[in-house]
Amino acid sequence: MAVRARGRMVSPASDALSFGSGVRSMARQLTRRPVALAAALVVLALMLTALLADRLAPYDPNAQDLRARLAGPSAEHWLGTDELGRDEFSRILWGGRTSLVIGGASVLLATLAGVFLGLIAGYFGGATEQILLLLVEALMAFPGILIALAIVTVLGSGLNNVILAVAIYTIPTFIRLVRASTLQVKTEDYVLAAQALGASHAWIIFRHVLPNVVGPVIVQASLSAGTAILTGASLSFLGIGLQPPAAEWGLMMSTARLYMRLSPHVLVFPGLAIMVTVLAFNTLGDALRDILDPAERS
Amino acid sequence: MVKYVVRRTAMVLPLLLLVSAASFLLLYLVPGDPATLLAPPDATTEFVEELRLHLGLDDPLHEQYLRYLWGLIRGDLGRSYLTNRSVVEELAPRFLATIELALASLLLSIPIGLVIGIGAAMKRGSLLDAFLMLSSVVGLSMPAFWLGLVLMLVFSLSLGWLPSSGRGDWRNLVLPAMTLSTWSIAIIGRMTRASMLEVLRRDYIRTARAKGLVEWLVLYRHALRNALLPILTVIGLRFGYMLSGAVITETVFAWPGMGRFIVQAIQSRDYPNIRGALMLLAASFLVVNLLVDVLCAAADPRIRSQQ
Amino acid sequence: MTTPRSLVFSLMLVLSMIVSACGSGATSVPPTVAATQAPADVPTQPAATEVEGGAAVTEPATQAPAPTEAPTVSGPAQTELIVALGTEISTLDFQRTSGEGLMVGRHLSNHLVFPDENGEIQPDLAERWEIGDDGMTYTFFLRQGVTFHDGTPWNAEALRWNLERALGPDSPPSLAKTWMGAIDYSSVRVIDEYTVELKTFEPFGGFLYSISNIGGGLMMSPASVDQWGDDVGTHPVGTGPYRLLEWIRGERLVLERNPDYWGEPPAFEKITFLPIPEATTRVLMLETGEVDVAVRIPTVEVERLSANPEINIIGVTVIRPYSIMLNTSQPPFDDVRVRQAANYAVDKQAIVDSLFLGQAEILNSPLPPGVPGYSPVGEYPYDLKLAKQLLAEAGYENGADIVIDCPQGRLVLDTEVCSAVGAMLTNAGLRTQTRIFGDYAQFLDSRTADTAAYNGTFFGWATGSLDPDGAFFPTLYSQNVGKRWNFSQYANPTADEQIMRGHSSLDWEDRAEAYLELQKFLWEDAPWLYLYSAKGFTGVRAGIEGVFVRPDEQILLYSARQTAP
Repeated sequence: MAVRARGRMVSPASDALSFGSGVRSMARQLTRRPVALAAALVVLALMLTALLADRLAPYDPNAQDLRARLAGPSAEHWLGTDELGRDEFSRILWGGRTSLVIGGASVLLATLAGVFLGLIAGYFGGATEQILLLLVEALMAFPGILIALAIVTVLGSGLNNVILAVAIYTIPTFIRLVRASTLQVKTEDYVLAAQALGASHAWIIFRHVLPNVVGPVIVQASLSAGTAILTGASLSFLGIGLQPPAAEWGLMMSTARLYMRLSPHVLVFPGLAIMVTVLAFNTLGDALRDILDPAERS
Repeated sequence: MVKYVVRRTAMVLPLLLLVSAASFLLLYLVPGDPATLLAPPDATTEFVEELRLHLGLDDPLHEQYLRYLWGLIRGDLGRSYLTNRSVVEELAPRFLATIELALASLLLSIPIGLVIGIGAAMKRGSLLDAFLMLSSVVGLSMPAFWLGLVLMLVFSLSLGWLPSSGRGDWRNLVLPAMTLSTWSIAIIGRMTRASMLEVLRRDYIRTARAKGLVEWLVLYRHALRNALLPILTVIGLRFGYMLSGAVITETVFAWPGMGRFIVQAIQSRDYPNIRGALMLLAASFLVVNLLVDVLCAAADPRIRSQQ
Repeated sequence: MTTPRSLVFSLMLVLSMIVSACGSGATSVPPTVAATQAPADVPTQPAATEVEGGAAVTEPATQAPAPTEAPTVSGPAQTELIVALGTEISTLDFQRTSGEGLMVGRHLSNHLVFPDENGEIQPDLAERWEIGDDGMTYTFFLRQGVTFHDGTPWNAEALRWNLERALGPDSPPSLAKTWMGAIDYSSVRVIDEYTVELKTFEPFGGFLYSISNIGGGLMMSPASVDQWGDDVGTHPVGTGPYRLLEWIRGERLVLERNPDYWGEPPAFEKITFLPIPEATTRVLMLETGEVDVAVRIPTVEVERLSANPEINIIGVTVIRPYSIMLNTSQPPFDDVRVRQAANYAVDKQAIVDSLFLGQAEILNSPLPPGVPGYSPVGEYPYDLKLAKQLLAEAGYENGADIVIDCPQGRLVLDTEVCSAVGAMLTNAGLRTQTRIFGDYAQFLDSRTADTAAYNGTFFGWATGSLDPDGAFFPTLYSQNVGKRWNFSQYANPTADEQIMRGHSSLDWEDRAEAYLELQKFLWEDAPWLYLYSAKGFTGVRAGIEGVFVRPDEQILLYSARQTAP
């Protein structure tokens, strides 16, 4: 059966056992790869910037100066001003906070739900598994953006609903991933032995199964965070995600369409910001996966 | 083999039923009344009520759903609220436009993706490999709407080489296809590289090389052939998603395809159009998937012999 | 068993065949277009070739005749007009369509009566009409010898049939019902082949405007509806100067001249409408000459385009009195002093100068200039001190928190204006949270679902009939509280009295007086935060004349012609 992927998906850990020791070895490995390390540092820097946006931003992101609108980059406004004369640099900093919140929160939600459901499906099997798989299949028959769009239309726009919408379409990826890993671990000798010894399901899941899915889940989370940020921005771009005057990258570009001819900077800078952010998450995810999958290592 | 195909095909029907029910429920939950939107600005509240009644929006949900299912069985998807045309007629040209764009984009991305992937795999660990792989991650990280707008800014607005939007001759196709291809090229490139590496490790490649076969022949006859399966899968998937309409790309370039159609339908609460589009999307995605699976099964004796 | 390789190759072969089929199947731009565009292509040529050495740019050049001394060379007369619209036409069933669909419809058919360029009602398919003493009975004497495009004769029966389709008890609700709703259908009488008598439910001063509203009374061929049924929206048949030639949805809509038109034949043989939602793209196409006319040019582009000798920009003050409709049923705007404070708190000049680059006028009446009966009645200069003082008088020394709602992408610069106004009100102590609705359906729903949820709504209500009644009745009449479009939830006996006086009277002098009183009263009572009326811009290539832009932004092209070279 083909691996079906929304965006990209981690193949289930082929050597789950080697991951019993967990996350620490992953971190150690990371420091030995320059590109991965750089990506990790960029992600860290982005998080810090987002956290400190209110301190770092030279201006109030919503302070308008109608008489100085659409000004190009200058010493006063490093990245120029937008159509209401707001400082583009400050808005990009604040937009980073929004984007990371969307990426982080939605992936966290999706991970929790996906791990839970995936464990249930993989470990217990039966009708529950069949129903879950059918749902997963149905959800995956649509592009994520469309599902998110439908959900936001139902729930209404705004940050929380965007997070929820992105989370919901991300869940199936995690269900599949965790289920596959679980199926694999379930047939390992030591799990069978534990079962034979009469260990409870909960004990087996927590002691044996969960540690083995942590690795792939972390990798997938990093990759999904990138996609989530892109989707969040796309929703805002379509006009149904965050609403003005929020400082959000997708939204900034949506407005920029009208002015891009005369003032391309309002289009270019938010786009670069998104790209760098998503690139960092993707590279980090890739590196983590390489570490995880020894077949790729040589 | 036949059994396998039958089993996979049988899965499609319950899925479609699920999608139809889900889309129905979804629309029931959506705030925003189609009648309100459809009524002209000066319409009285009474008129809006009358319109709701006429559209059958006040009927019980299950009644509406059964009516819809009955139509579906007879191949009747209803009529658009907005244009009063049959949904099938509405969908057909949009779907064609989307297929056109998807094929153009595949045509662009398959060769480029393959070349990138094979090149990177052959020069594994080299600077070229690093560069190609980095480029593909950059491709994956690029927001489609941004890329589309930048391409438009450069090639249409500034240079004036290509039309900036709409559908017409091949020149209209270039920019949206480029935008849509970025992702596919990256994905196909990465998958090609990965599965080539996988295959190149195998014994028979070593044997072939040991036999003194020319390198490109080894590549072509042994490696690529065996690495094709996962690549084919990825291409099929990508095609499946592209058939669902590249919402963003189509919006940016005013391409009259499924993605833009569905966004517009949602905005105007044109329920019959939304439902019809969702069904068509789900069906086409599932069919493409089915085809890919069957192709893979046909190609892979391990799957073929299953059950 | 086929090998995977050959499978893939055959798959790709099939793909490429389909693609090439699509490529050749898609009709390219007709040759006439290329010819007419030749001069327009000239300015873009040198720039493009310089950059890339000409390799990729050769295709338009091959079609361009040697561009020497263009003014003296008289090329082939332009026979086709290409127009970039902002939206896709939903349907051309005249009784169901709206917006730009109506505009296209007006080229395909006619009304009973229709206002001329000065807004005066003129005969159209009715040669003349009489109004009975009761002010409710209208007798229309129809133009003779007119046929629909399909040969069906235009006569009293055709009119009766159209009225029945719009208003009949068994007819499904259609948009036309709203416009023609003043007619009592049971009173419609066919007197002879070219005479019809009908009654309105009540004396209604704006009646003729109402049925000549661009979407109100376009006549359809009865036979076409028999033939096409529900699909008539794709096969419109009218009496107009043009008839439908080709319609590829989402791509283009082509009209051709009706050789049997009863009126003055239009100059252009064809009109092609292209749906181009992106404003920037419309501008580009106008500049390159891909289109001859482009609607809704963004204000930011006007200055640059005006400097281009090949482009004429038509600016028309659009009859939308852009305002924040203040919710008078809720504190703090239930107090007239707070409403006036809000009016003083906003620096309208700054908005007009910066956002609209001066291409807008600050409102000085609830009616926008351009609507009959408009009269400037006052002003609310920007005065922060006075605003704060009025707030204090009303008991809001510490200000108040308010919510202002705003549709996104529906009105010119809507979110920009809302953000700016919100910041200014906050500055004056009315701490504003702006809620922007990207989804118009939810915006409309929330207007009536919970009227306590908002304190203000940004809107610019246009009277569809070009009559003042259409401006006041839906938005400020007490019976429309809780309904569209009385977003101020405004119910005031004084205002009601004048609105109804203007509504029912058939004497224009009397109506004008009522509307003057009304404007004065509404200005003081300030149910709205009056902002501005903005110009709308249409771009037309130089050398084309006679494009008429109505103040409701509808564009009429049947008098358009190419000026002599």
